[in-house]
Amino acid sequence: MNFNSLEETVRICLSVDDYYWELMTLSQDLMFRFFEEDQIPEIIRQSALCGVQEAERVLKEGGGKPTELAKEYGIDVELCSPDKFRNPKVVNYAQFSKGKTERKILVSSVMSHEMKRAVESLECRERFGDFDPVEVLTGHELFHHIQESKPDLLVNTMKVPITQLKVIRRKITPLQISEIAAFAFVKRLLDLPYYPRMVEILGLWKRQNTMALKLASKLCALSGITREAE
Amino acid sequence: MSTTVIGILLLITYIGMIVYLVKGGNATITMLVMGIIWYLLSGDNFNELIDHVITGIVSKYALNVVTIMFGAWFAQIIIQRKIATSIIRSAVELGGDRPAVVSVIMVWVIGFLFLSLYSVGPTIAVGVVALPIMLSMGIAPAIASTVMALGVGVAYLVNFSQYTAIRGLFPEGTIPEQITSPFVPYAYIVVVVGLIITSIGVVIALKRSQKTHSWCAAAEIEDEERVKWYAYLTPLVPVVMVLAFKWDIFPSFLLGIAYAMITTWKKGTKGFNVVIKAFSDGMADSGAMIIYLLCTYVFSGAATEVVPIVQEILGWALPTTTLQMAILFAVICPLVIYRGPAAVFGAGIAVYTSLLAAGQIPATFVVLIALTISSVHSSIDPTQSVVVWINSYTKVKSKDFLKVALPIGWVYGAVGVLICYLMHG
Repeated sequence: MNFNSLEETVRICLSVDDYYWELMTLSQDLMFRFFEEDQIPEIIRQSALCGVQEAERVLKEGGGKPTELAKEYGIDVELCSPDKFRNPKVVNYAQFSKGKTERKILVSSVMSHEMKRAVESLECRERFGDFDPVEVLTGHELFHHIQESKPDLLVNTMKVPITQLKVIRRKITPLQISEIAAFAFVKRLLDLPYYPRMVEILGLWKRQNTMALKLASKLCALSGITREAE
Repeated sequence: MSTTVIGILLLITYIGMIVYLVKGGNATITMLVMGIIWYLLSGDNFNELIDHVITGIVSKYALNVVTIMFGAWFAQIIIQRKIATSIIRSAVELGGDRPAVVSVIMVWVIGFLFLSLYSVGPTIAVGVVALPIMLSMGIAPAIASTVMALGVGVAYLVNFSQYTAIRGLFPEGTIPEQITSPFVPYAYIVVVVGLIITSIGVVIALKRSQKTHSWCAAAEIEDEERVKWYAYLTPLVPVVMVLAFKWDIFPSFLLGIAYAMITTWKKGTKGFNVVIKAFSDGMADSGAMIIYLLCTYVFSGAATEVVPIVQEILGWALPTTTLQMAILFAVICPLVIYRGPAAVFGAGIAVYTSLLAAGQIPATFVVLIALTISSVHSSIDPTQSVVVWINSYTKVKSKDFLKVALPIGWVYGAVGVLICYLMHG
């Protein structure tokens, strides 16, 4: 699949069902190759549902912008430079950290600026509604705060049976299911007309184009979209 | 020049060396320059200096250099035949969803690999697989660095190339060429204990670290084809041949290479090309290490020459019994950092050779302590090439690395010294 421009890439990716974005997220789990094929849809469904249910609970309690909710929950939100993140080796969008006394959400000023600029350059920008990447990134991390506060949340307790070396049978909690839930959470909370991971392609397009294209290609490969079909 | 004046000059140059290294100075040149200065202070004339620094080094240490070259060749085979990466990926999958379990598994797997792998090249080849996996699981970079550095450093205690390298630092005959008692089984016991201590230390560090979730565009961790399970035994081949069958190190490495090639053979493999390329890559990879070692040998030779002066000035401070030495080195163990006075590959060579020359503590005991502390040095010194690469990859500052690694390395060193005292004191 060749993506000639950001406009074309965005239009194609916006047409992909949420399921395939979630599948792409799950496929990044280190243990993905051990999941049975028939387990995968249910893993994705339950993880996403967990995120949606938490968002609906928050909305019932009054809702609000993620940055304001974070303040209510006692979490510092900071727009910062790339070197402030715990792992500056990679391209960071946002980070939630919980220490003994403080909780903090870091949002990349560079990436949110790139995301905003990318949307403003699009002809189809209206499909992003009132686009605020800082709220999207903060909302995603807010789920992780909820996840850390509720040990019995499904993404902390879900056990997926796997078999290793043909004889070792055990159950694991895939790390990527909390990411699927976090994306579903922010999408429901902000009623986003696009899947939240779309912002990654927007943010990476100009400075890390290869990574953006790789992401888009993988998404299309998973969803079976070809140029002819599109 | 009087002994006191020379002693003062030795001390000034010694402090200058430490300051220069702490500020990030080149360790190779430092060792060479220090060696030349100390040879001159010991009374060498020009001809003697040339003999000590050039001719003597080449003729005396050729065997050490070739041993390291063979080790590097073997290491490249393990890397290029995908044995190392297969071992790491398979081991990580056993830990799966739990960062603490994965960290502990990594300590042991890296330790297992570096029984035979040596130096920066293999560290890079293993690190580019192991470190991203740990980082992607939310393990703090300083902890990931510690896992890697200590896994490597602890295993170095029984690494043949490291053993040969250290052997060259001491007067001829001090450390036997054949790896035998009392080094065995002491060193292997300490390695197991060291990996246990590291595992516990890493788990404690993880529990104390901030829980972090990151949304980031990490590089995809490509899953390559794995080698067959019996190829995973390759790092053990030279170890078994030397220890169980008393083979010499060179044929042991060659057998290891042959085993790796046979167990990873696929249709289309151009065996000779692979082996020759691995040799060539191993030479390129070990070149910097070899020149550093040769310069360190210059310094260690010079340190031996000034032992009488050191003893005259500092003899009162040196331990005279095995218990005193054990207590002293358990306490000053952290002074291996920045190649300080406990580091064999640093300022400490003067201390160890002084102790040997004094003759009050059995040479065996001094050497075993030196080897153990050297293993700590390899694990936690921020100027060690392996640690330098690891921290530059994870973008961890030296002080953050030391906050995690130094306490663990200190406990490991102190316990190793205690075991030495109990077994050979």
